[in-house]
Amino acid sequence: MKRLIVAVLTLSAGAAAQAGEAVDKTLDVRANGLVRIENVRGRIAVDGWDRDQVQVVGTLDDRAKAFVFETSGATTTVRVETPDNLNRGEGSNLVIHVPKTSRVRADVVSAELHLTDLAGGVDGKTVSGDIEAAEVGDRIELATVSGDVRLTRGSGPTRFATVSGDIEADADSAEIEISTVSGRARVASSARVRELTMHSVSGDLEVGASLADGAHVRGSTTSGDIRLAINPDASVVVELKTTAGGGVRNTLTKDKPNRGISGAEALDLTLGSGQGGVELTTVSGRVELAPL
Amino acid sequence: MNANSDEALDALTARLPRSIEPSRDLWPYVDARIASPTPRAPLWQLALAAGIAALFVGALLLGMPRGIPADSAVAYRQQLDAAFSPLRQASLTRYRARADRLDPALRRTVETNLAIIDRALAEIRVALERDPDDAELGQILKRTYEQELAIIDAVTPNAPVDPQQYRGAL
Repeated sequence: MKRLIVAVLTLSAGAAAQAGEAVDKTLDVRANGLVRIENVRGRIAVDGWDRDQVQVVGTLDDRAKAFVFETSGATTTVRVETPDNLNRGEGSNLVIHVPKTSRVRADVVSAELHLTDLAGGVDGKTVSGDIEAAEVGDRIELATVSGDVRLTRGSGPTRFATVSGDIEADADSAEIEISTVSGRARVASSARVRELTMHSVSGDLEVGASLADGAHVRGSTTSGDIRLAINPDASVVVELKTTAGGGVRNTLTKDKPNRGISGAEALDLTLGSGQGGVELTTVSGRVELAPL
Repeated sequence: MNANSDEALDALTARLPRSIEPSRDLWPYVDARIASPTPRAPLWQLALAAGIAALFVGALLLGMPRGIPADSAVAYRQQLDAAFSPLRQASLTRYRARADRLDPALRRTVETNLAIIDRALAEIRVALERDPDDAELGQILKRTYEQELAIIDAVTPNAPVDPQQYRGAL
């Protein structure tokens, strides 16, 4: 109860914050709670620390209408409210410290988003800003329209989605999902992957990972290329296919693709005892199976 | 065609699915979109549809293999098209109404990628005409439709349909 009172009092002070104003506020929160962050433009850095507190330090958007900083139950909210039309001034520049075990959900528009040292799960979305995440885990979801995504030392199920942004990741994830329209994805996992799905329209997809026994990999593109590098001792049934144009390449084994009468190419092979499956399909791109 | 390739073709056709069910029922979302009246399609959209239709017909005339049973895959594709058509129409209408408020660079990115998707849809349709029973092509078509909707929802939020329904696309 004492914490809640502190939070409400702090909220009252926070709401009075003015545009472009420096902010330095702290709330006591639950260690394993959810921290929701909303901001339109600028730069937002979220860093985990060992205190059961959320601290917001930096400057608000020049055109901020209100600053909401509140905690209720297990949810803490940090929100910079701005008018719809933002064509002048500078965006927010905030460093937000949260308990390391918090789950963080950050939605920004044209702001850079940096997420560091967060073990309770991250869900970061931008429209045009880049996302950089490091030392994050539990469950990771990073999505952007035109920004790039970079992940280093991420662990747990991981999902990437962009429209035109590139994805570069060095993960420790057994479950990975990649979706892009025209961005390029290069993802490596040091964990043995159990589930991998990837889809692109014209962007190229490149994944390198050892596959766990019984792993399932599905990938498809329209015109983008797919390159999958896996452990030669994987136990999977492999089906690679291009439906029109493009091509299939295999440098993992000596098996050669078959070329159909329509120009489509396909390669079916079994590695080990074939416990899992790899299905990669493209309409007109190239598909390659390579050794890790 | 020699005996070996005939056998290979028989083996491949034997593996084709006899029927394909959509992965989820899209009609509630279609109904939700239809409930909101949408303005008439502008000329560029009609021109785009005409272009795709031209490719479609061209593919039919030039490259469609004869004699392959395709009822189930064609029915699935028709169901996809019918389901996504009003969704796309409503999303594009919403996008056009709000595009002026987007940052110019973001707007260029969005429109470049919508054009990429349009070209991809045309390419997938041509491939489907060549290989109408290809279930994976049907899935690629569906995911590409979903990505188009997800792009528009990402830059024009407050969609009447819950974006979580096709969140996997973005």
